[in-house]
Amino acid sequence: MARKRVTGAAAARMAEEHLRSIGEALPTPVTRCSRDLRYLWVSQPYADWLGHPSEEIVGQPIVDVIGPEAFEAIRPHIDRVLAGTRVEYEAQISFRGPGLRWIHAVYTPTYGTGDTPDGWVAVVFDVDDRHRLEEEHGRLAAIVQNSDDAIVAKTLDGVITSCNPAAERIFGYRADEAIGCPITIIIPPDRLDEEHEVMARLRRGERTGHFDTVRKAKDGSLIDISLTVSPILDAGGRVVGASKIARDITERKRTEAALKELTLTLEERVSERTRELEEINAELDAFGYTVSHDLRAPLRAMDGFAKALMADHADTLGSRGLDYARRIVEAAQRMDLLIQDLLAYSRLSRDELRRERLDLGDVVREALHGLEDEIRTRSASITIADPLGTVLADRATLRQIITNLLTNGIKFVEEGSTPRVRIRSESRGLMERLWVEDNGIGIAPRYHGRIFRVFERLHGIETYPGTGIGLAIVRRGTERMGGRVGVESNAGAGAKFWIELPR
Amino acid sequence: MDRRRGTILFVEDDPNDVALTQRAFEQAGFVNPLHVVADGEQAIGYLAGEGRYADRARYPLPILILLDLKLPRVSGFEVLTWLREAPGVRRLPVVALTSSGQSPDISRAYDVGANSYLVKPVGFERLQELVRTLGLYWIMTNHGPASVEMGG
Repeated sequence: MARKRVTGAAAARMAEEHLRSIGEALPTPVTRCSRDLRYLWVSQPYADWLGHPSEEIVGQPIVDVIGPEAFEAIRPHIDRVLAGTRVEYEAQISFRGPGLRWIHAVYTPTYGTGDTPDGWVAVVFDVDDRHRLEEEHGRLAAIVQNSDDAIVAKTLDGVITSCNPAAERIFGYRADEAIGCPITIIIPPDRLDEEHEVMARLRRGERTGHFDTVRKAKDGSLIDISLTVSPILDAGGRVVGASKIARDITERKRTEAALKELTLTLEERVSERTRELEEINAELDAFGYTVSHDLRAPLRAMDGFAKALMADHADTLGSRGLDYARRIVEAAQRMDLLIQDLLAYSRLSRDELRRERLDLGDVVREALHGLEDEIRTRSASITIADPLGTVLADRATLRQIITNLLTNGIKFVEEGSTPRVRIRSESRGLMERLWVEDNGIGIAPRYHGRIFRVFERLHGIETYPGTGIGLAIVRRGTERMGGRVGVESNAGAGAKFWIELPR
Repeated sequence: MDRRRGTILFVEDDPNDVALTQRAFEQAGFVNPLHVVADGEQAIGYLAGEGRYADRARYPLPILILLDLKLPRVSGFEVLTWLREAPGVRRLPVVALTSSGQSPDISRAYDVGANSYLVKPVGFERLQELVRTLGLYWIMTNHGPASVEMGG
């Protein structure tokens, strides 16, 4: 490369001055560095960029000003420019002062009097902002590229200007096929009005919130999509086009249809089930009627005729015959009790309950009144810790429950001992708890869960007669009125039954 | 007319119940003839005086009807419904005597015009007690309607 050399010190100084005045006039950071890696001069923008007054920079080693890390990074470029080559590069470098910046730099070697460069002029463009924009743009482009939704841009005239891979996949057109075509290639003829409407709104700068519609693919198939149309504005804020974001909702539509179908069959099944239950209920009513009528008639006959035998033919029967007749009577009476209790239990499960505020004391006394005979026969002593609380309950059901608890308390005592039953109540939050405590034979804790079930009996008929339904009625009735039941007892230590009802 | 000799119409299909109730009546010392019919159709025939029942000397109008509700052919409810519309007999006192203590049955019996509702007890002593009370009240104490007293 032939280069005209300036000769003479004066000429060299002149050239130097000339260069400097040009450099300092540039709006870009410019510096001239010497072969010994120091700053000879810097332009004001350069000094500003590094954040130091130029006096603190000039004459200093480059490494001291920009820091060793940056110096290491630019060192290869310096080597090349000092070898006489013009160097141009773009790199991200961490400078002491400005920090990590993208720069675009041009190094031009300078020649003094010798053949080798005596230094270089560096023009530095800070391109950090541009890089960031490019990165941002790249990210946005990647989002568009990778979106599952079809994104199509078009002009106000409806000419497609871009489309992403999802759009290619959904509509079946390659981007290079689609771009330049009218948007109407993907709109079914019967939806063209919709497009006009959307475009009209768009010209007014309005965005169209997503709506479900249908588009046409290249192969002619129709696709259910959810569409959002937004205006594309130029820098001046004028609407220059539209971007359409379309989501394929074929799958969703299918799911919706299936769901609707399912809901419908579910409703059918529920009403069918209700019908079945109503039928079963009606059958149960008929069953209850039959039980109460027909099952008891033979019992009346067994009891009545066995007693007629005992009364009219005692001498021919003899003591053994009389005993047999007595057993027939007892069996019939037990069966009758069973039927009555079962009826009461099933009625309790189905009858409508009328809840009213009741004074427990009143209901307890009603129940005691019904048990007067039994209490007298067993010389039982009953004490009531007045006053008892009030509860929300159905009167007849509550009376039945309390009667059953009292009957139990009186019944289950050691032979020969006097039953003593104590009745008290206590408030527990929103509930009132009624205690019925006896001095009877008690219940081992392992049986506590069983005694409230239907037909559970812990004792033989001979010892303590009963049907095994009494406590089941207590529980069912209490629970139907929104309450709970429980027992505290140990074998041989009496039992404390409780029921809890809303106050 | 001496109510102590007045006929009682007993509508009951169960021969056991018939036998036991008759026994209870005897033991209680009531001498009223107890005329038994086994279904609702016969009951209506008797009360309407149809066919052989036209002979009121043999089949006099009763001073009291004991009516089972669950009967073959025509139920006790239907007999009651018919009776309360039938001229000449519509005021006859009717005691429903039945197995069912179910409250819907009780309500329905009163709705169609029963004057009393009794549940057949299991236990002969209780039946005796019931028949004694029934007789004391409906035969000995209660005044029947005039048209029946006059012979219908």
